[in-house]
Amino acid sequence: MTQPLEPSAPSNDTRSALEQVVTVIDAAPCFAMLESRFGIAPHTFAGLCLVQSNPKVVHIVNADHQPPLRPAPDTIGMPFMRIKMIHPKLTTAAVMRFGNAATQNVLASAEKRQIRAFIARQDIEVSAEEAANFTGRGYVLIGYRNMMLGMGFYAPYDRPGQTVGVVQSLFPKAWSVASDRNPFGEADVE
Amino acid sequence: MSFETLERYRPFIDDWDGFVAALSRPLPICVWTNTLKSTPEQLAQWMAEGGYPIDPVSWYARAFKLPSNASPGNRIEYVAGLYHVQEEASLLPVVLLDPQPHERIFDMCAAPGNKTAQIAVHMQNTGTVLANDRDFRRVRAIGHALERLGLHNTTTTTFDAANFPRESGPFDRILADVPCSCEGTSRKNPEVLDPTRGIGLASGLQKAILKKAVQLCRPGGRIVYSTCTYAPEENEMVVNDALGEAGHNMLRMIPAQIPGFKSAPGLLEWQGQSFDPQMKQAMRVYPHHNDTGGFFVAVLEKGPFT
Repeated sequence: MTQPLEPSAPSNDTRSALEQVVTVIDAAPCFAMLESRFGIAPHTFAGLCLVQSNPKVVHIVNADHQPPLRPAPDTIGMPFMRIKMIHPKLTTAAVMRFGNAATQNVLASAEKRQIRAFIARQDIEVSAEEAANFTGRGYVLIGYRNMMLGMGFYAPYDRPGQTVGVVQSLFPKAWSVASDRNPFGEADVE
Repeated sequence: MSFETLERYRPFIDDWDGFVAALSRPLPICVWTNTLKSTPEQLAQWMAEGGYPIDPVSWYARAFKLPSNASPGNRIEYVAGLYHVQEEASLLPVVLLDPQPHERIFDMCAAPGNKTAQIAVHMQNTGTVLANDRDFRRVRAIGHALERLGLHNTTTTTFDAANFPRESGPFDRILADVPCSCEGTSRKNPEVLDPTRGIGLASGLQKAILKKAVQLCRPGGRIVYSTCTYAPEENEMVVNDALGEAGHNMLRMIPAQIPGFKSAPGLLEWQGQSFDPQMKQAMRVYPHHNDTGGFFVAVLEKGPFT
């Protein structure tokens, strides 16, 4: 039955295997935005590129990736940024994967009670110390013990008090933990 | 619990009472470290903090066994994608596939995506993992696992694996973890032993998928054929068919063995039909040997050989 595959027909197409299948977009503006808000250095994304096969979401994929032309792929790479929003938003998957490179607008070690609220999609209040590297109203990254978990939206209070502002959780409903379970384990007591 | 449908395997299972006793126990839970985000040492520490006994999987340093009543899918470390939950026996095919960074690898029947994720992590987020399934809803489930684990070296497609377009190839390695009667999962899903379900019904499809794998693999590449069933109709007979059709200079078996993991060789005959003598190189996994589910794995190499 099986013969060795014939070498593919010579082609004049000089584009990469990836470019032949999907639109590779200029990533520089997107990476510059992430550097400006979060201090994520563009070299964090070395060897990766952004592709757009879906009008709402840009995906990130390694540049040596070779998807097939046929059958047409459903998805290529990992969802990276939602672009059809007033403020384009990193996906939760992207925050978890790249968020450790952030140097500002990041709360990398939130407290357990804050994490419980965050993954239940509830607002969390932050102290001046916790908000020390927040530069102002806008997206912030939330993590626990340096495990990055997702994105919130920070709004500072305009009155002085014990807490300086509130972070609205943008954690996806589909990623939540069952509400009757303790995400810190059965042995956890607080 | 009735094991009547498994009686026909009694002649080739080494310790029938041990086999039945293992099937009667709940299945341990197994988790593996996402080495892109964490280390086995960190995972062991988490388990200790969570009150679980630290029980590493001896043959796969990144994995741990948990008691059958554990719920590791509700932990914050799970949410953050530091580990994945996957039955121990189902870790075997990818270890035997031995994916390497920068390769181009095809997971033909990928949903729900556990083995896809394992391949993509072994490749350290480089190269190409093509994850296919014929059911679009199941393809979406693959995406969720990959996102949580932070994998960006995968593409998903929805297509009939047996008729996958030839021009999608060639691939360095191919995993044909085919749909099967799933008898080996009875410790999790006892309904698979229902005598009315039928055994071997998928063998035509299984043969077609394996032949497609042989076609799409590059010369010198590797194909792993696996099922979670004991039925020779879905295992040795399928591999024997592919070997016969391809011929000895185009397809051969290589040993499917993992040090530290006890397994039985493939059968050389079943119900009067004898198989290619290479078939003993296949791996049969019985639950009483390593306290796992049941599995079958054959590792094939594509020629031409001189």
